[in-house]
Amino acid sequence: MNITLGLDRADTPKTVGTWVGMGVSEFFAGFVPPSWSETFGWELNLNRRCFGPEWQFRSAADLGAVIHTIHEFGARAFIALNTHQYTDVQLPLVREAVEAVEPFGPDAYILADLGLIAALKEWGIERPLHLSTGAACFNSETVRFYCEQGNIERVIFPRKLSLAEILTVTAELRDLPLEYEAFIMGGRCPYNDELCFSWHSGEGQNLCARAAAPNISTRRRFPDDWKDMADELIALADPLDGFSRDGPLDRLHQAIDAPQTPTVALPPSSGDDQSDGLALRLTQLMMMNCGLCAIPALREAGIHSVKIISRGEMWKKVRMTEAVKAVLDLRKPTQEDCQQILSSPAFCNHLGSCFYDVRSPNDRAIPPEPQP
Amino acid sequence: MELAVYFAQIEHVLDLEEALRPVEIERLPGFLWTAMFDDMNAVEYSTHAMTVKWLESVYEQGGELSRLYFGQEFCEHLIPPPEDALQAAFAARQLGWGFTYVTGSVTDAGLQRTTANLKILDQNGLSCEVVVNDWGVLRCLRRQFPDFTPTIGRLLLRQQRLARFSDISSRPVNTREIQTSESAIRTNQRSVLRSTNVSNAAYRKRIIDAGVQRLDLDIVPQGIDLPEDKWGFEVSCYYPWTYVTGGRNCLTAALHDPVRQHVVVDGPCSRPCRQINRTLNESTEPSIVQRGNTVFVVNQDYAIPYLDGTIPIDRIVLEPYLPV
Repeated sequence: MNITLGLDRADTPKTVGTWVGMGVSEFFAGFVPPSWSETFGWELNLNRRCFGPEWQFRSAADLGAVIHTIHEFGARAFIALNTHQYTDVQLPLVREAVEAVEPFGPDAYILADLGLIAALKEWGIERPLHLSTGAACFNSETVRFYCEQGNIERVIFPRKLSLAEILTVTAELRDLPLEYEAFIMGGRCPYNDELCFSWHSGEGQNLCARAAAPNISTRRRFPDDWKDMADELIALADPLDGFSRDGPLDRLHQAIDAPQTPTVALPPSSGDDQSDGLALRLTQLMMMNCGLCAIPALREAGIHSVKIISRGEMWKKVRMTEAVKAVLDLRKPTQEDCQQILSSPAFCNHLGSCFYDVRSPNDRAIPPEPQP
Repeated sequence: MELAVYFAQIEHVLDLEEALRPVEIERLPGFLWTAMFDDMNAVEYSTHAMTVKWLESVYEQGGELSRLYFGQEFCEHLIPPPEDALQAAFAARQLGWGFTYVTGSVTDAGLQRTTANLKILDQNGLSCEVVVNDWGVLRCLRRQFPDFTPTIGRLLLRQQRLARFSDISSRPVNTREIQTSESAIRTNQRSVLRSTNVSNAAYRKRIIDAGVQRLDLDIVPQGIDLPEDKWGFEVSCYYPWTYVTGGRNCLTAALHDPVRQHVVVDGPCSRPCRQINRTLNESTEPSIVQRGNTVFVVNQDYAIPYLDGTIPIDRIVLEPYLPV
């Protein structure tokens, strides 16, 4: 199993050597030439890193030198062109960027837009294509569809597939000569990358950050006769009677504020245990989300590479890469091995740290029967 | 302009009269209105009243409903059972309406359930229009159900929603290492945000070859530069709820299994969203409401060009309730 690591403009041929020495054999990078950023800015990007220049290579020559070094080490270099969609206004500059990179011989382009797959073919670009998580390959038929559209070499699974679902897809596609890649470290996103049409920006707070905030209201839905209640209220001779006991408003609020049963208690540890090992918050800042314990299951599913996503955040990539490599070096890593490598029980016990649900079926809550 | 109504729950289809009954909440004194619709979970119902009132105004101008949308776009745990799909299709036929079956983004397990529903419609001679939000579903449709007509749904039409560059947004543009003026960047961005990849001719050819005849758009604040020929497609838009984002993690499902808030869990969901709503409790302009795993925004005045014919769509898909 390989490690695929994101590069950014802080990376140079020298750092590539360091990464290879740490066990990385595949790299991906974004390229945003000035012609693009001076036209469309950072928010409408050539790839899914919309936050600013730190996440991108800006010069084809710099990127070319990095690709050359990667190839000298026998490793592979992929270029991310994985924006959800490119419009006709953007395509000439996309083509300019692709043609600037082509002479350096990247090993594949990472794509999410079926339109770009079609455009690349028209432009005579024959290079292998990797389906970005943004391509939404949630099922095997979607992969087959894309394979009919272009020269697909690899599928990068969405972050929001379970291990069993990943296994199903790879098993269904045994007849196709595909490679598979899964996320292992970095931000997991509260929503689905591939189905999120809100904005990301280096300026101000993003919607997902707000939605993940604790200011959530939980109430029962309005009862089926809510319109009758409204009609009763409208018909009141004295509107103040609307606040009477057993009146329509009272009945409405009794209904929507009724206990929401049953709810399940949080697992025994919810991240309070910081007595031993690295503090929860520090590990969260460093690793964001972690899928180390899932590596055995990902191996079983036939995953070729695990992806570390922290372009623009050099300080995180070192620790992430070290941790992933340490687990990959073990033939049969256990959860205990992984937790020991992270050395942060608080993080490992914290609900929300994991990339995948690695509980055994016996440990999972049994959901109550749906009510009619 | 064709007018369709969209329900995700069979109960609403079976009691259409109640589901579309007007309720004049604007007649409520302000303090009663506030007491009834006092948090973000109630926005669905005040919006419902507004939507049905709008429908009444359409009726007064001679418009009428002539199509039923039914199905599930956003959560595969909520895909209706085959008997519900069949019942909805028959209900539409009895009303003399067209029928559109709505599908979502699905895993292999969800694809099986989707296919089962298409199969029962096919077996009963109810070939219909199918909204496709997943390329795998489109492939299945073309191979197994060639008599059905695919429409590209809003999850595959990835125009940015709530774009920060619209007139209602004051968020700044990031100008780090950019010499071009912010206003020029904003102008260029708007031209992109007001379009979709359907403007790419190579892409259009691929989806036309796949049998697609219609595009189902969401209404967005920045609008859309839809050419008069609509790129050769028929075009619908959903009103008043626009999809913004969603996921397979679910705040509401987490009530019964907290892990589901963070990662995908194998096994069935108890579907607490059928009784309970959990949403961001912040008043925003426009209003953002979450149902289950999906975040919507309710359209404001920027919907008018879509509804009055300025933007040349030919079908409005009315969502009286959140379609989850």
